Amino acid sequence: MFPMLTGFISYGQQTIRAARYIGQSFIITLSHTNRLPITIHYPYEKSITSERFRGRIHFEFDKCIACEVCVRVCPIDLPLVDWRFEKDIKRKQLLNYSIDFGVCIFCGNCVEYCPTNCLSMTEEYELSTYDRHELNYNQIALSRLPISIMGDYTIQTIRNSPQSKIDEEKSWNSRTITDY
Amino acid sequence: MSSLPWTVRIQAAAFQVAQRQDGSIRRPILFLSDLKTGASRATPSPDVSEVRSTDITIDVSRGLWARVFCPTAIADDAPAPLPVFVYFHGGGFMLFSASFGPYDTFCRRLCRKLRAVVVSVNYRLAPEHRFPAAYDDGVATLRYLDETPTPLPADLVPAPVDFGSCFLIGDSSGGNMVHHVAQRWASMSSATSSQSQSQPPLRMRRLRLAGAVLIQPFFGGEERTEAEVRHDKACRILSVARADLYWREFLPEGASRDHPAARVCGEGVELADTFPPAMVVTGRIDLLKDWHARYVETLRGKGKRVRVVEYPDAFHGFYAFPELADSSKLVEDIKLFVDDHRSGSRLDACG
Repeated sequence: MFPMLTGFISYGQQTIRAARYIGQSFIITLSHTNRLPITIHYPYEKSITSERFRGRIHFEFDKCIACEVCVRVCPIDLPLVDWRFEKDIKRKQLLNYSIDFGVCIFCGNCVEYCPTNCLSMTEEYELSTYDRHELNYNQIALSRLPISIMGDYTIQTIRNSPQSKIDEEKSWNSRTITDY
Repeated sequence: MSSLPWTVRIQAAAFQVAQRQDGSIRRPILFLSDLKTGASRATPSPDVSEVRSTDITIDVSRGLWARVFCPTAIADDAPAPLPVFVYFHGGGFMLFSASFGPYDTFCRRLCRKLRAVVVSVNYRLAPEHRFPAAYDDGVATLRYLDETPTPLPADLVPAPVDFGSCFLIGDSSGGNMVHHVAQRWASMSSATSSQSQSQPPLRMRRLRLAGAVLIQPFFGGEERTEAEVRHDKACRILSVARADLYWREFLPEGASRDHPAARVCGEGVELADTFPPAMVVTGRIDLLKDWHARYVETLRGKGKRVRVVEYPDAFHGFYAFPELADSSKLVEDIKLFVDDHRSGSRLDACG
């Protein structure tokens, strides 16, 4: 009688211990069901880029003085500057300016060191094309303003995680405490 | 409600299942939550949340017991005395107990965050024990802490306890109890101090009510306030019909909701001189928001110090769900209030 009872008890304890051991691994697995999905349905949903996003370079032709600082600070000397020296006004005149985004690494050095701020980063990142030669943007293509995805009603914009953290910090102070 | 985590929605739905159509309660369903939170009465059980707990018996004749929580990680080098929190759980005077899972978890969070001893009172419930049974149990608990030489187990609470920093804290119907128990205790203290003029005092009371924390207290009345009309279907935890049921089962037979136990506002409310400073927590989408505002006005009219904390996204009962962000902010705000009103704090020195 008692050996059978102790056998059943030990068997039950082993079963409980095994179930608990297996259940421990499911703690991490099942905790994922309580989380929001991190993926977005691109291109119907797009994330809002941050202010420091390094997208396509924007170039303003009128501001350029053809000093070629951007060529010197570029790790691969990428910008192609074609200029001519005007003897009557004793100043360089820019003829052509181009950047090949197929080779560009978007390091931002040219934007950083441009003395007249005619180079700037935009939030445009959809530069894909079927011919790599089309990625060689001339000054006309570089002067185009970026397309705003906020105004496109067919695209739903989603904030990325740093912005969400900022929102959480704001909500921390949303309660009101009044002392009388 | 759609923005709430699914765990909160499931618990709210389970709470709804526990209520029958005629308003009566399926207590066995709520009792299921007590199984996993049983505390050993003999030896304190350490907890992964750095809190030890045990159950103590306060009054055997009426079956009154309480669960005591104490933080484990206490610095041995000259520890400061721990303040005492007497906690009254909610539930409309009819539901739940000190061992109910969400309230047990809430007390552990209070104990860990506030570094205090928490005494969760398991008062008698309606409709078996109507008004004023719950209030009598609350006062009996305070008297037990005040008069018993060692009210808390020595092996559970090794550090000294500061009974001069006793805070009453309660949510929903527990918040209602906080007000009435504090009022009764303050009245008894005033009566004792007046008696001491004629004869020497028998015993100096060591228990001093330093503050009262009312978390969305359960007040009411016959009239329908704007918040009750607008937020009746806002959440499943509380509705107007359910609140009316709670009052009908708790108040004496034939009493209306304008009974002093329910309607705590207006000139008829009497407050003793030693009524402690109060902190009232309310939510913008709470059913009882307007009753909270009237209560605050009453305290202000009587010259009592009140701190009002309002959470814009809080429904009634938000504190019981650790998944919500407001729940952790609440504990931080309680800590601010407690630090301001402990014995030896700057406000006491100035006041």
